Amino acid sequence: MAEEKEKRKDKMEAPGTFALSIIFLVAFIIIWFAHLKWLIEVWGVK
Amino acid sequence: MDYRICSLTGFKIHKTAEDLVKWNMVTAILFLTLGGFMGLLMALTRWPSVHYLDATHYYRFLTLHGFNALLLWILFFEIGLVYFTSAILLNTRVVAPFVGWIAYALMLVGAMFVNIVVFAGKADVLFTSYVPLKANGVYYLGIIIFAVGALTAFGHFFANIIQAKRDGAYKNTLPLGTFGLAAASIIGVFTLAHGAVIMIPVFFWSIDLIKYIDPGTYRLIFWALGHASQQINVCAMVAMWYMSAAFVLGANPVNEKLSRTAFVLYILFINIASEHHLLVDPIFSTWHKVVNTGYMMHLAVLASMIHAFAIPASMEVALRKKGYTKGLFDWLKNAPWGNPAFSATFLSIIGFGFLGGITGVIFGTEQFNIIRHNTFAITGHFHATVVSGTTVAFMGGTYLLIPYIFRREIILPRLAAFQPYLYAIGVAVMLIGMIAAGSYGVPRRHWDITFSSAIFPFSFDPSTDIFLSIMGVGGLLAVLGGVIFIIVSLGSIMFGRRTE
Amino acid sequence: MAEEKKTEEGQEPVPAWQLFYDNIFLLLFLGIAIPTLVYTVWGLMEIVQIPELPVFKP
Repeated sequence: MAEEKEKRKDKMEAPGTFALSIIFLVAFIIIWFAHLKWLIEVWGVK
Repeated sequence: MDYRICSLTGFKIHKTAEDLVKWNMVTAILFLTLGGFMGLLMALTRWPSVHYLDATHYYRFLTLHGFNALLLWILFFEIGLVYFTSAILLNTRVVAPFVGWIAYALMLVGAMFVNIVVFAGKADVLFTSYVPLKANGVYYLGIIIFAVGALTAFGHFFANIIQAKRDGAYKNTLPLGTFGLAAASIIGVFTLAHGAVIMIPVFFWSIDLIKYIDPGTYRLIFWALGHASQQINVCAMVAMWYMSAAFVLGANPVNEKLSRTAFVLYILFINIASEHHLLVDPIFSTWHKVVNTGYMMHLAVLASMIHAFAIPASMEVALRKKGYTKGLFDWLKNAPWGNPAFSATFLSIIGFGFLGGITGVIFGTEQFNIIRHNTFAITGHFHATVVSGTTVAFMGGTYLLIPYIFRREIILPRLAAFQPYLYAIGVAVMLIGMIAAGSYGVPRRHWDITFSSAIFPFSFDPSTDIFLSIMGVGGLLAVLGGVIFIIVSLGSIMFGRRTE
Repeated sequence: MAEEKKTEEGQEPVPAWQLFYDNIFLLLFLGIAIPTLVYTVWGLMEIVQIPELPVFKP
């Protein structure tokens, strides 16, 4: 049990999911600000 | 006590448990057919160039669509999951089997009462039946009977797990799938208790035994029934995600404590999110609104975020164990995308999380809600959660349970593999159209947005026509996906090759 | 699929959180009590505090 915990501490078990979450976070921020820009410039939202 | 051993999973399956799962699931699919057909008529009516139904039938069938799709399809399926997780998953029996059948009968009778009275034109009150709109008494009676049946089944869940512990089926800790349905059942008790508290007086009011029901009080308590019933769905859906990952990939939760914490957060805090229906009501103080939606609701949202990452992570770990370890995404590329149980689960996570969850949290803030309240954007939000989320997940669950419980192979497997994608993408297109139209102020539950018979003319921005047409096209794709699901699922149950 | 942890007698004490999560009936109680108080009861208290219009007679 203790050695398993030791092994797990250095190795990320799901790096792909972690990468996906970073990708989605960045994409979300970009899309969010882009849509705000669109609302302000195209629709005149203040 | 009849048992059989499942040749696919090794579970010891009690005959009554199996029968209850079968009957509830098939009934669910039949009500989905009715609700889905009504949904088609809705899409064709709100699509401006089609505008199919007349006003009376629009509101009538909208009532039916809400009731059959949101309440009946989902709750019958969940009761099936209740018996699956409290007996089959635990390798144990259903306590006092007749209780399960009484619950089923009550639910069915209540469902038929409501459907018949609405079809007869006596209850065009929409799913929310807000007082002072008054329907025929049978409508409320039907809902009460249905709710009593569902409450009985949720109570039966607790009885089953008590007996399972006594029988030694588990020591202290329930398996995660059962724990998720326990969360759902707890929320179910809260939901239906509030339903009884409000529907019983309203029934007496509808037959003129009570003079007056305060609309503000009605809304407060109705939405404890109305929204909390959706939270039952969330718990059942998330439990379904874990179970699908486990059955299809052999995935284990990466951190049981975290996943269970998330379910406990749901149990404690998710019901108060019902407050978001009351954000524009003048009665409630800002404190009530902000504490319920701003503080507590976000604890439940935290739980959703935990699940949203924990489940893909568990899938990744399982696939890496199978050997897909190259780089970051080898596991994703080689996941069983052709298996509809898996693809439905993944699509449901994306649909519920990104489309439904994000719009829900945004619209659930007081400042934003005033802009989106009663617009089509709200309809878009809840179709994202309940349709692209829960319904797609339950469709995936059906593809799993047909071989396990009905012991039939899935017919038309290529079509079945394609169906979750068609349905999920159709729904996504549809709801994006809805949200865009709603952003321009297009109202929900409104037959004629040209206001042709109004004294003061008003027209929406012409681009709303485009968005509503996008909604219509998406709706048609979704209905096609739904029809394929009905054909494949019922066809497999009746004609699929037996697996043993 | 589910719990891998099988604690032998005297090996590892069961964590307090696990004991809490295992108590389904405590969770049932809290899951009903908390939202009922914070949402329903509080909401009803606010409704009741609004004075009735003198004109309206139900």
